[in-house]
Amino acid sequence: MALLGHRGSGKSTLLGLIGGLDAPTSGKVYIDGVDITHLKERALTRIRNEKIGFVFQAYNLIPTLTALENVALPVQFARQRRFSPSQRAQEVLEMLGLSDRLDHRPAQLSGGQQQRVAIARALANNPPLLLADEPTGNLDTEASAVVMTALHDVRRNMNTTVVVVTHDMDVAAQVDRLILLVDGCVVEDIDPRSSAQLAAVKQLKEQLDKSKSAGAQA
Amino acid sequence: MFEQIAFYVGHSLNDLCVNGRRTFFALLCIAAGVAAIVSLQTLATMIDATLRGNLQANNRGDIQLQVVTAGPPEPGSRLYARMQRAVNDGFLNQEVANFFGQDLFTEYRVSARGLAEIRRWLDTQYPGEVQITYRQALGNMLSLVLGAGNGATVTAPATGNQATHLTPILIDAQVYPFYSAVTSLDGVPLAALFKSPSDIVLSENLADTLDVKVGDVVHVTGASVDFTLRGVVPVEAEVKTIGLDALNAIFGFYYLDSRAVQYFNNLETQANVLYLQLKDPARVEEIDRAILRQFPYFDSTTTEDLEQVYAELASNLNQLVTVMGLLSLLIGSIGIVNTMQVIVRRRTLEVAVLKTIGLQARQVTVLFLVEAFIMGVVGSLAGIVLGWGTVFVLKSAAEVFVAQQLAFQVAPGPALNGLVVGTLVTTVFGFLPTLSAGQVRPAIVLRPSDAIVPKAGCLGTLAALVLMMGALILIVRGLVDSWQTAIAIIVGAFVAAGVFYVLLTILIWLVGRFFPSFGVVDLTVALRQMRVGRRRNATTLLALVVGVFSLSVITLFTDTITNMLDYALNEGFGGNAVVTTINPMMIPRLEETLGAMEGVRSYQVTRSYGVRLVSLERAGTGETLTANDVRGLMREGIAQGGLMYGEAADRPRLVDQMMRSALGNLGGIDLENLPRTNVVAGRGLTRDDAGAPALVVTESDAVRWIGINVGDRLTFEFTGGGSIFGSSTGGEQEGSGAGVTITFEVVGIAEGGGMVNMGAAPYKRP
Repeated sequence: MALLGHRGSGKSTLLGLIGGLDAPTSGKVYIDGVDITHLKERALTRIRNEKIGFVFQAYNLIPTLTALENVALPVQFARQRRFSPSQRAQEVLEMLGLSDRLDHRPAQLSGGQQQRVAIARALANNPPLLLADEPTGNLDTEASAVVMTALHDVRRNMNTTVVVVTHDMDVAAQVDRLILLVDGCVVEDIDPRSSAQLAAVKQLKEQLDKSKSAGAQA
Repeated sequence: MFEQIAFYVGHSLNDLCVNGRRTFFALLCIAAGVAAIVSLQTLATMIDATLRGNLQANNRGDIQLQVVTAGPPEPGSRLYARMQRAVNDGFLNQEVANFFGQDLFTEYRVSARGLAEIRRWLDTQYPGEVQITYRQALGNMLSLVLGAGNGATVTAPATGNQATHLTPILIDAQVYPFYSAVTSLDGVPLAALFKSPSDIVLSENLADTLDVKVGDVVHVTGASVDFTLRGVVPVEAEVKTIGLDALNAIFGFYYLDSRAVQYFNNLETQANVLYLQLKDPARVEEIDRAILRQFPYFDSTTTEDLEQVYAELASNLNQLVTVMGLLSLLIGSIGIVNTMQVIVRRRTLEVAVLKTIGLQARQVTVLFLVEAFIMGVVGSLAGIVLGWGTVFVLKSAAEVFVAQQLAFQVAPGPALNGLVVGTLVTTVFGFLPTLSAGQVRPAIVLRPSDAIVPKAGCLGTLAALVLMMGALILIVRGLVDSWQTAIAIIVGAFVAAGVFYVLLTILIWLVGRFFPSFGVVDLTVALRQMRVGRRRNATTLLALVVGVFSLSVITLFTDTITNMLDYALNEGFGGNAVVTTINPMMIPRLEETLGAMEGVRSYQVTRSYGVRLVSLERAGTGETLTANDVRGLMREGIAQGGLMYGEAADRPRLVDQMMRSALGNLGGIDLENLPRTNVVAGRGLTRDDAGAPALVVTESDAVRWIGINVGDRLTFEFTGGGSIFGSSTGGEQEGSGAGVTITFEVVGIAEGGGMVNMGAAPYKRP
């Protein structure tokens, strides 16, 4: 699923609410059937650790740790550990094609590789939900394609729900469900896989491009 | 669990390595504080161990006995009578040194018969318990300083070099000293060096002066044979007492076997100092008391006396260490708080990420605490090494201070102390910033911003402050004697820091709000940012203020101690060491030696002249008093002086003594190098006084009784041949000859207690 919208439309805020990073002023958030709206920070941390994986635009890897150590971290701090940290980290990294980069620090990896390490870290505890905030925002086209492929693989192979925040229509076109946000409100909920709705997506893209160029001229 | 700890440690180490420069400064901050503690405590331990470990060696025995040397006792007293009887019985030898017809001083020594009597008494009272040996000088003090008596000069025929003003030491080399054998530079003990009575052992400085080597022959004045040099010993062998033994250090000394007495005319075996070695050192005080009861004319020094002196010294050192340690701690602590704040602030995003992936707030806090702990351990270890290095630098200064060679020792106590205090302080002071790290909101990971400053919250901050105070009180309690003091110091320091923080916050706000920006945009923005971040800026400024303040206090403290010592020494003696000579002809040689001596920064020569008061002309009334009138005033003063003087008020001898003491000597002061003087009235002497009959008198009972004031004119007759010191300088300086009468104007009255404060200007040519 992708959350699409202009800057300031509320994409990241929604992501933060879903991920238990922020608390809503009204309404409720359920994760895996559990209302997390009023949970204490301690419980939220546990939910984040066990049920949610986060991927950020700037990767946010711990610079002093290797790829393997970064990925092993959530497993080490899991309250109920289901995996061996190193073994699990190695397994996920291999799955994402990084078996030859296990002992590299973030600074020794390319942007695409860093983002894949970040995805691996998010998947370390095998969460049912993966939240990705502009995962391709800092990447070139080729690296973006690799990352999106990885996310598709994750969804397919691990049965994980992936929510991607983006304003990139190319990314948005690859998802199963697209939600358009404007000023904090959901204005469209589209399945881009149907031909009719794909046309709607194209139209949306044109509208977005127009408004972008108008903004640039202004 | 183990994996988590491994992560904490590994991550902290990685972070410290990656942030090399910042880590380095933080470590330096901790290391400096720990180094100060370790070096000072190690030094104090070394001094304490050296002094207390060498009590018997420093005392040359368990008990040291000398005949009362501070002048003869008051005639008529029981001690005086007893000493005269000891002299009449041949127990003591009495020698009165005459100089130009005046009794200069009286020296008492234990005669051969006295020695035998003491030995007999000890064998009777304490059979097999006490061993005794002695040390004998060759001539008396006068002949020694004149360089003319037995043993006062040593000549090396091979080189033609001559040395004077030496200290000859006659000993029984087979037993002297009882403790800590004196060895030659090549490690041979005295007992092995002396094979015959005509052997001699020189101090290193004397051997250098004579330019002789082992096997050479030297001649000692007054001896009928030449002596063969068997060894050279370090000067420290006979420089054992703090501030004393200056002549040994400057001119040197030599050892002769006690049997060498036979080679000198008119010399018999006699002892200046007796050394006693006890089989059971625990009985030292008991035996000492018994000896003094039996032979009351002895002054004794026991190992316990020395221990008391050393304990006082060690206590003073510990106080110094305490103050320095506390100040170092303060600097280090504030520095650590600031460093940790910067670390946490810079890693806010990282903390948010860690919380996003599942780290609890307390786990984040522990993570940073581990980092602070590691920094504390590493910084403390570096500080220990640095401290030991510093000890090497401070060691030589301390050796001068205690007049002992200090053995370097890697004392585990101070190192452990430094490690514990350094680590504890770093961890405790790192706690508050790390607490704020735990409070970072994970949501900022989505919108990273430098402006977001993590805060610990009121309760957390309060808890952290209480914890810090508690830990610091525990640390300070280890340094000071009472809980109350420790609590007062820490609470006071925190309150002061809090007040400063508030004041600085207000000051920053005021500057940020009202300081004119003159329309410069950059300045306007800077001022606004300063105002917005006033709390953070106040903390930084507080760290800076405390750091600078502490450094200033340390500098001021060190400088004050130096100045106090300098001042006390100048007040009392005119310098760090006093070399007294009766023979003015020694002065050029002394000046030559001191000028070439390494470590002598400056010196001044103070000359003393014997005078007799002729008259006193009062400035206020114009009244002129004769010497007899002044004597009358003295008598009245003594009579009114209460118990201290009352009984002796009518004794002319006491009046005369006090007259001589107060107005019988003038010191000629080197106007180019004036000592510091505390003047209570008028002024001190200045360079402009050269050639003028200006006089500064020292405050004393006699001066008060006589009523000498600034502006009064005192007329003195220089006693010349009848004086102690005066005549030999006659002709060299204006007005110093016998019979000359000079009227001086009193220009100032100085604080009492120092011989050099009383000075007459014209007695030193500019």
